[in-house]
Amino acid sequence: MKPINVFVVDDDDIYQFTMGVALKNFPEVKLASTFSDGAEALDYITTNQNEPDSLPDIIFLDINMPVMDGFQFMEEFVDLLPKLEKTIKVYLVSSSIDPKDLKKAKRIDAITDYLIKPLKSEDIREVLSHFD
Amino acid sequence: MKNLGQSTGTRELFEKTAKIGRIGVYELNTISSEIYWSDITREITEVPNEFVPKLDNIEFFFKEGSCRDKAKQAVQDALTKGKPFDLDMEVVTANGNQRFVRNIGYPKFENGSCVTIFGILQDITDRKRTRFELARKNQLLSFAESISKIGHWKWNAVNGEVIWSDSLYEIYGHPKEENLSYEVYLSYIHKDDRPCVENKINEAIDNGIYEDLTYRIQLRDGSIKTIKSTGVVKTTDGATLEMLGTCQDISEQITREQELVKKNQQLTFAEELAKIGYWEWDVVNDHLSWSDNMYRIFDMEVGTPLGIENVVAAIHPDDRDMFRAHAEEFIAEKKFRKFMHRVIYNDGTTRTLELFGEVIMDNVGNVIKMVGITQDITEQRMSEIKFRGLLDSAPDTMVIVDQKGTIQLINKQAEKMFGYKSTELVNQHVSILVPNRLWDTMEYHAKIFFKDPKHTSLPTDLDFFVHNKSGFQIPVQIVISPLETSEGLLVSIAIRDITEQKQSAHRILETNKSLIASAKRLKAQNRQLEEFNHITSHNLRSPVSNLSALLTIYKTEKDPNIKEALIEKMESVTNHLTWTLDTLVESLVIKNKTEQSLEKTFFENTLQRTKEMLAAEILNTKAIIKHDFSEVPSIMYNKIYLESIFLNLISNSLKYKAEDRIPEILVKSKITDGKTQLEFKDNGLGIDLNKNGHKLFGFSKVFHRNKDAKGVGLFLTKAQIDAMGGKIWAESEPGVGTSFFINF
Repeated sequence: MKPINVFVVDDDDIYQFTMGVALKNFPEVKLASTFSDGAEALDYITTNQNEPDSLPDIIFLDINMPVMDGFQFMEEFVDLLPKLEKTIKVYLVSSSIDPKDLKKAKRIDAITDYLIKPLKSEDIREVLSHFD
Repeated sequence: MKNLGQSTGTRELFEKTAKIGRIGVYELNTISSEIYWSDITREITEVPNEFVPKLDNIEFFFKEGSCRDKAKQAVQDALTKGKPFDLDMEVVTANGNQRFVRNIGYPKFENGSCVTIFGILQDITDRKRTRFELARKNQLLSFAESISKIGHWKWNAVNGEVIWSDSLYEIYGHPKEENLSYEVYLSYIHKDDRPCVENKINEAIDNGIYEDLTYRIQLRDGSIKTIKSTGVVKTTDGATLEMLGTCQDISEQITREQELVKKNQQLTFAEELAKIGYWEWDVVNDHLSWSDNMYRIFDMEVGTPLGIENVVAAIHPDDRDMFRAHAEEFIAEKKFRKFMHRVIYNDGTTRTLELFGEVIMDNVGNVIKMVGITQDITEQRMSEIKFRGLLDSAPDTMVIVDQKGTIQLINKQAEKMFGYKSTELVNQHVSILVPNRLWDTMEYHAKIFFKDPKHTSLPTDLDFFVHNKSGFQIPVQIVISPLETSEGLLVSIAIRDITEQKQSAHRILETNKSLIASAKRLKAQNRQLEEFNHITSHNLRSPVSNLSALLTIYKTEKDPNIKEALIEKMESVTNHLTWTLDTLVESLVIKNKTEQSLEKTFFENTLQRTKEMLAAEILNTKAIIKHDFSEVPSIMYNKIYLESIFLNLISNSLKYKAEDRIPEILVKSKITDGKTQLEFKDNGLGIDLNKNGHKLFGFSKVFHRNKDAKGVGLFLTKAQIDAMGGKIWAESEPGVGTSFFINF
């Protein structure tokens, strides 16, 4: 089993905490990093774009964030993707059950799925199960 | 006398005879030149007794001139040639009287010479005068005959002799030199009339009575004359002796009569055609004379004798009093005015008559007579009534004017619309119905119409008004049409009250407006609902999901220290949830507060209070806050909202100040597009509106990594401004600053 690198991009520190705890229960997750907004995550990815090991395999991306929200992040990230030597799966994670947000997410190919908070252990397992 | 040498007896006898016959005797002795005049001679010449006639003084008795010369010549011829004479001559007596005398003289010759002239002098004055008189009368008669075209005739039935007067020759055009006879007379009579005339004359001969005859004659030149003949028959023992009488040329009279008859017929015909009757009313004797047609108009027998009450009786019962009143009025006012009344015919039909006339006064000004005509105007009246009916049944107000704009006729609807009676408007100018400000418009359209009179609708957007008697203005739509009549071009103006249309249009407009407003409100509500939906789906769900996640961890966690930490985190989430709910409730309160208390609020005061509330931050940041409320110093607004708006925007500016410079804030009020506008301008961080514009006033939206940022201030500010019907937007440049604009 390949070790998996996971990024959690969310301004909600409680969520960051709970996701951290949840991910620890999965041994295949080698590393779980947290970012408070899209800009922080993007900065990191841009800086480490040539080091595939530093880059995530999975990003859990929140929609509502200050400075750069999830959709704004995706705009920049889509431009960045072809340069990266790694397949990165982005999961949009939001407490919003607003169909508008869901629709908008579906239009972006780079988004693998749309998940609704709170994420349960089964949800995370399902996501991780695609990496074997 | 003794020289005459005749016996006294003979002379006496002669003298006596001469005296009775008023014959004077004279004797001239040529030898002794003695002249003897008998008493009669002296009487005729009216000489005194002592007068002694001599050769040299008697010639003066003969009228001077041809008469005297003739006398002298005669005497001379008698003396020298022994020629007797017999002369009628005029004598001037010693007293100066004129007399006619017959002077007969016989010269007596002895030895070849005249010795004496013996003569008589007869006074023939009376005879002569009678003859003159007769001649003069004959002349007059002939003149009269000729003037009156009368001639007289005489026919001797025994020997057939016919005698005509000169003028009769003239009338018949018969030459005087030609013979006359009964046959000749008959030949002149028009062949159509000849048998009749012969008959009559034969009857006259038989009966001895000559009846007046009128017949035509044809002259030799072909012309025809009409002759009226009168006559008497003279008989002896039943046998006709002669007939005499007159013939008068009455051709002219006949022609005139015929012409008169013709004219009368024409007049009657005209009267009948025009249904006109002529009347004369002798007011004093109450006698009426009517033309024949007048009787017909009244359906009365021609010639019925009439007084005013006979006429009244023929009049329609409802019109009788009016008729009498008019008659009395005309007499009192000495003036006739045309008027109408009805009559009822024997068959029950009613006719309408109109009277025109004038009054005739005596020299002291009393009305003695009225004359005039009466016309049966039933047909006109009927068509008028029909037209009126048509006019009154029209749904629109109709006003009919002449070319000068004088009102001729209006319908019932017009009376209703304008509040005038028909009599008040007829003969008034149509501008009485139009407000002054629209007279130019009216004249302009009238001009266009008269250039080419045809059915014309005035433009619907003309915004034309009429005003009624009380000055109330009514919006109308107008259609004008030409109306050809016998009295020239009239104009019918149809006026439609479009108040209701206008009101409907206005209502539709208002409805539309309120619909737009409703739509706007609904849209706003929709947006708010969406917003709320978003808030509940995200801002409420996220702390709940956090709690759920924390609880899951808590259940599986064994370490009591970590468990404690989890409880703390749960508390924090719960607090956040509570705050979120409070804020949402607050925003709902703002949105649903429909009745905000407005009061006059000075911007400067509000700014001052804001500064006081933010005193610490201002001091820490060393912020410079400027203002300019000179253009609009105050506003009617909800005071608390205004303070909240100031507080939010200024604290935002302070919160998101640029790190490298001292914050500068300018608050300015002005009027833009008629609305009060407030601008908050700072030199802070600025926001990329291209990226974040749509989220600027959202709930819990933050754009900076600032610890205090909760994303609620602008959300509530917008809620407050929206609730007051205003608008808020921003202009910003990242790194330079932000301006918030508020339209109240």
